[in-house]
Amino acid sequence: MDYIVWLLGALAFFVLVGAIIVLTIGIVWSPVGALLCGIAARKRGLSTARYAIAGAFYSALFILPWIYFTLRLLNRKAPNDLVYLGYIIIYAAWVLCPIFIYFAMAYIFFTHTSRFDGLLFELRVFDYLLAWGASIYVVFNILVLLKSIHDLKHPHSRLNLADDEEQKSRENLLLERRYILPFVYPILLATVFFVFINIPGLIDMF
Amino acid sequence: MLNNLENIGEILFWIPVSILAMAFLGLLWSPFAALICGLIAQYRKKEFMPYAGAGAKCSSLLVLPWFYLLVRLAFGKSLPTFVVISAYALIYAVWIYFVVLSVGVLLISIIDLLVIRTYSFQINMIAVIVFGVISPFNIHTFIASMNRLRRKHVLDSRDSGRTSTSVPDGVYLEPFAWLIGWSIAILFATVLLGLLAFTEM
Repeated sequence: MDYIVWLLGALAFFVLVGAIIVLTIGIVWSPVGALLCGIAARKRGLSTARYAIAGAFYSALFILPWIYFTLRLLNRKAPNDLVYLGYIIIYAAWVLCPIFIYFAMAYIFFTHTSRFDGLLFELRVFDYLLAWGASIYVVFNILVLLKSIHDLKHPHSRLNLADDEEQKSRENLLLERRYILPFVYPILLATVFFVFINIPGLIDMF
Repeated sequence: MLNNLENIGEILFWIPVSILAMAFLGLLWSPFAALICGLIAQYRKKEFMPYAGAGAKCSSLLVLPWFYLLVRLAFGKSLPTFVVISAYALIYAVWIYFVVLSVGVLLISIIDLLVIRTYSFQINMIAVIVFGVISPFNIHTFIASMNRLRRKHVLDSRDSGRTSTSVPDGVYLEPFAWLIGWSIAILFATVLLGLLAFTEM
């Protein structure tokens, strides 16, 4: 049992590290991405600044939307397999991150129980905060994930907003919000969680 | 000596129990409610069965919607707005209490830990995790229910013809059904935690 726990924990950890590496590469690439998109837009007679900003934004979201956007600007279509692969990777990482968090939490919880045996009461407060926050985070993550998949599959459920967006995106080549949000949500949720998880540490420091 | 979590556990236990007791009474009353609604509908030259079914359904959802249906059927009028608003305010107040409960359980666990220091760490930890898991689902259903109710109300206000039927629409009954569902979930979690605490003693 311990072996499976460690294996899953390690797998989820590497996924998390991989996601952070890709995110960092995308952020570093964003000025170059912005420049390339700006140039491509200018050649097509579109607004340079607007498409450069969009290019920088898409590049900072794990690069994949930027690749799709650049191909679109160059009048080429990304292969469907590439698009599906992108979404599969993002959703797999999204599912594995909560698993990693729960394993990390369980590890901290059980090691504290055996090590301190009820002596350090103040330390246990952090365990409570961690358990509470992680539980809320994991469930919230799952709910947002299901909502995101639902919106991706059924654009009409959002008061026909997606229809207008689709029309606009065909006209101005920018990507629809529902295609971008699956890349934005994990970053937002992870940021909130890591801020939350560091609050006890900061309190402890002062 | 009882610790704070056990004290709050008692309150936790009695609130869902009160709601479920009311739901149970409503369920017991539902055959009579169905008969009364059916007979009034027949007297008013309407179909017996749909109104009897609606009466039974409304009665089993904490009785309050049944009063609304009865007044509409018998007098052809709606209940005063403040009565309807008060009923929904009551339902949503209890629901908010269920949402806030998660923070309460966390705070009480911390107080147990820091002030009383006669605590069961693992039971409190399980309570924190269980209510931590329950609360986002609760918040989600709460917001979704409020939104659906608001949208439906706006649509019905625009189309006054739709409000002329006596049977309240399903969307108006949903908050009552959700509250019963969450009461069952909270009661189940509380009983489970109580049993865990009992076996540990």
